[in-house]
Amino acid sequence: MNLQRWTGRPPANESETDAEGRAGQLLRRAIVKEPLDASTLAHIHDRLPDEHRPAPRRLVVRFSLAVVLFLSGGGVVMSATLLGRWAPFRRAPATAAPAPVTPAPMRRRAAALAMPATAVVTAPAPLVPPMQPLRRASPPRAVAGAPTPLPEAELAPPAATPAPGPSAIAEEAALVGAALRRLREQRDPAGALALLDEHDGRFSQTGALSDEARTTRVEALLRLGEHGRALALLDQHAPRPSGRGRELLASRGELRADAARCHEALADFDALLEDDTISDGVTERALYGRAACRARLGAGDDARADLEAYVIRFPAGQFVARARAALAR
Amino acid sequence: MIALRADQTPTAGGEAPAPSLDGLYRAHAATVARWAAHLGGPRLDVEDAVHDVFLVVGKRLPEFRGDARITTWLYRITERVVRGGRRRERLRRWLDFVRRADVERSLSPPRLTPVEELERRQSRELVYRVLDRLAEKYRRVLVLFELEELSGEEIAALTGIKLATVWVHLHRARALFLAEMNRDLGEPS
Repeated sequence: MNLQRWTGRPPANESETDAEGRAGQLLRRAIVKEPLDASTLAHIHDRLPDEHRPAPRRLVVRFSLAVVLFLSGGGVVMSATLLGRWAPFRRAPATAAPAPVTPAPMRRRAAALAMPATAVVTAPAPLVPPMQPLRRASPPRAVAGAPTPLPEAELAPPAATPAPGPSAIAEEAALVGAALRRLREQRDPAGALALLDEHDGRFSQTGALSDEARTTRVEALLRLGEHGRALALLDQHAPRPSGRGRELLASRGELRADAARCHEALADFDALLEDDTISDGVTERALYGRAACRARLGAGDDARADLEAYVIRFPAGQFVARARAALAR
Repeated sequence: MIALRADQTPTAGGEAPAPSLDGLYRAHAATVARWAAHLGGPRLDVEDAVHDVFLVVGKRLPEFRGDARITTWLYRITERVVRGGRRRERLRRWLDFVRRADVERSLSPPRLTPVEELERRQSRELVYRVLDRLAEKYRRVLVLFELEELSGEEIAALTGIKLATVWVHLHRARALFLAEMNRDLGEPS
């Protein structure tokens, strides 16, 4: 049987009204030739022999355990109440500070592709002035050891600021999740920002998901074209050049380069390129971004070295044509 | 290292050497990654999936008797792992967990991303939104035919279903895909 693939139809046949042509166009864009590069495959291979984790059932087991604990916890409280043993709790309220709730670490980084601004490559700019102090977008967090006088309202006894219980974390997760959906599924960055403002108002001091909220805010701001505010946010909270912070750091470097702050951008790109065993989409962006910044700052030899390294390390990279063209010049 | 061809059938006690995990990984990891990416779509963590597939392979390798081709065996494990990954993803969403991977993936500044890349991402999301509404048997053949670009015979060999059934499923899958796609795009089917 001979059935022509939609993805095999020549693009010239596609028109707005041709449903099969449109399906072919969509499906062609969904084809992934090489989802993982050689270094990622090697990394997985290295982890294979001594790692045996029962991943498929993990979430189900965790959820079941949570339900059992919740129910048994409820049983204990009910029994204690019925037996009249709840008095100690009433007499001596707990004063110990709750342990800080931190989000669970990511299992893996997720590689994403993006590119530095074209302007970075093509339009040399003067040196950047030193970074200006930035206005905070949300109420500042308390910093240990900082002798900032507190308003009276903040000197209230600990009981006045309730610790985040499980329900508070669930509420926070729901709010951040709603902001994410508003942003990504409904494509409504302004609506997402409103939800994130609500999140900051309610959980700014105790939020367990403040990192996720901040990350979502950065994306929403970028989608609104508020690059200055996005950069200010990234400037306030320096991302680490490891794990999930790499993507943030690459974005910050690109935004800084775009804002003619090449010296600071170089610091971000350098940090990302420090570990030369990593060779992913972020590394690619950082290497190309550093070349562009170095070229802009007049370090032609260093820029050329970066471009040559880029062409060798990423022969099928998204900037390879531009890198080759720059080297030819 | 044992470099197996894609169609080689190793047997545990026969003349062909028993495959090692290392050899299988080197010969097939990239193919497994591509299968996983196509079957799972943009929400699947391909790195996790490949890792899980080869954990299963490592565990079950001693039981592999060579009744099926090695690629068929690997494909079926991949399909099960991807299906498990998709189930977990749905559960996570149902529980309203914050999907950190999504947050990370979304970090690329749109202004700095080429238009084609953005279009590609949106198309991919649309394709998998539509595919997710198809029954598993239809989704599978459509993915293998259109994205993996396999022939009907190859699909039959890989999935273990009859060739005639492959074509029936494919026709049905294409009709459903078009209908769902048009519904998504707000066009009459």
